[in-house]
Amino acid sequence: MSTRSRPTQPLGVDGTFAAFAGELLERELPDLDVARRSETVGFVCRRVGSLPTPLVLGVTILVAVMGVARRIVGPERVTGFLRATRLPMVGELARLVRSLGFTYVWETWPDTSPTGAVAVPT
Amino acid sequence: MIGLRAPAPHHDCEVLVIGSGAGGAVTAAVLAEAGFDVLVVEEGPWVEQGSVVPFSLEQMDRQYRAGGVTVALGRPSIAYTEGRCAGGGTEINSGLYRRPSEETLDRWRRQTSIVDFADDEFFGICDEIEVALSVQTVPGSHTPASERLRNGAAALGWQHDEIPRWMTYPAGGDAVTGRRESMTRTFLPRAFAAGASLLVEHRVDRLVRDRGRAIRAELTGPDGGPVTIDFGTAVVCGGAVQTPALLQRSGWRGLVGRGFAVHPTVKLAARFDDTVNVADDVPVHQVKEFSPDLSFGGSASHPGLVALALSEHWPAMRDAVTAWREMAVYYAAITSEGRGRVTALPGMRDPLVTYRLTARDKALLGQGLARLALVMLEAGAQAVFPSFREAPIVRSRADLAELTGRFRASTASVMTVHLCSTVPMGEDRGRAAADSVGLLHGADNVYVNDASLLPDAPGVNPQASVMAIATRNARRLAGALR
Repeated sequence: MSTRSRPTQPLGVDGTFAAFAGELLERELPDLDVARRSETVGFVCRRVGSLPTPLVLGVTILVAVMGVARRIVGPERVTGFLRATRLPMVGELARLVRSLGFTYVWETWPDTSPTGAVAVPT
Repeated sequence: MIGLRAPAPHHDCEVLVIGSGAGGAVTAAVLAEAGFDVLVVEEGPWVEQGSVVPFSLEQMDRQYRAGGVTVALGRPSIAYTEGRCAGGGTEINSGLYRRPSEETLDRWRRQTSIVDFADDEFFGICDEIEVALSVQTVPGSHTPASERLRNGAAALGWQHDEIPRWMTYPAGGDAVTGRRESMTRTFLPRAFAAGASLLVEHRVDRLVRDRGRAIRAELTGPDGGPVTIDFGTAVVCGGAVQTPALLQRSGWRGLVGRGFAVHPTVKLAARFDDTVNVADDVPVHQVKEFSPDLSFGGSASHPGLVALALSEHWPAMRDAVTAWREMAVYYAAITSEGRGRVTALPGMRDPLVTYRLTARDKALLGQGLARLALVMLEAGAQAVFPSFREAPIVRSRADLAELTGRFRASTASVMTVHLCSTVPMGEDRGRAAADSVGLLHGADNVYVNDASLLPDAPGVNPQASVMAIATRNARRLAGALR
């Protein structure tokens, strides 16, 4: 039996895009617990994977370039750059994760704090 | 549901209607009632109304194309939504109904040389539609978010009114007790009663042509297998994005897909002192002081959508998200001079959609957002959160200049729900892709009968226009086929 694992899909939950989405959410919602962050990343990946095909192609190309950049300069610097950049198209990656992720978090757990913490019953 | 046809590898019909929304359902009902053998094909599922919460993520998963994440690329890109279910967009939209003006009809008539397109006939059909859909205003109290919008406009002395909806209400009901009279409750059952049937979860990949005549549709069934339908006449009603994409995949190009028109909108969230958020409904009031260039209304305001509105400038605005119960989302919509394009790409399942706003459009979006913020302040908002990058929080009139100064359309969250004009109708072949009754130029038996036919965006919710034109054209087609 082969021990080689299947190659990861760039937009799958264990791919480069998911890693970026997780890191971005960790920075923007630092108190979102790991389980919720993982669930949110799963949602973001599913939605991105079901985008119209030309958009999936565009995102896949951007993610491939991002993957190379992450290996060269490190994930943290790339995520920091993508969070802040205003470059056309490139800047849309962080915007996409943020809009889908935030919508999911507050739709699913409406009383989440602005930093992502679980609401404390009062 | 009676009327649903069981999947099979092959079907035959006299008239194939592709799409079951405001255009397709009306077309199917008119033709079936005229005695034709009608088969309607719908890409999405049949979802019973009331089985999902309106405007929720679950609804987006089940009834929207691509989960509601569809974008016309440009600077800025414009997010749009399309229904992908039996009933199409009528199952998921706000249910607001407005006739186009006589000026709009006259502009359309002249723009593409539409013949035999009289106001009397058009508005007579509108009368029929309004009865069939129970179009009416809210009988009781409005939602707080709707009242705020009305109060803000009234305080400024700006023209505003309540937009009727196609809803029925129980005795003593109010805004949140309405039941939408969408296509799955009205025109599709009418079509079924007259003998039409509906094939859901089937995607039409292309129409097979023999010169100008289409003879067969090739589809993908629910299990991914091939399905074919032979027909005498095809009426394509997939909406302003899917209709031109299908026609292009079938070899009809020319003007098809060009001239894509929308009503671009920008948004803000407004925070009040008390609870205003009604997650599963939208305000029915609109501000028309600057119509048709600009209009203001209210959007769905689920907590997730409030967070989305704040996300463009999250570091500055994030603290407001915990107050989502006191917040509602509003929009400023413009009539755009810009145009876009829908292009089917070889080897790709979905089309590429682009849109280019003009400089005037971008300026108008900024003006609209500032004026909408003013309405909110006059309505009693303690803070207004415009949805664009680096937007200031507006707490008083003094902040409006900063909003205007910082606004750049390219950094704004621009979206639309009104898509039209990709197969405009008329006799002028230099401007129109279909004739005055929707017969595709260059085709013998392929008609279009949906929002694609509108020569431009009507400046109001387009469903009344779509349904009236679809009824008119379907009646003409029934006469021609006899």
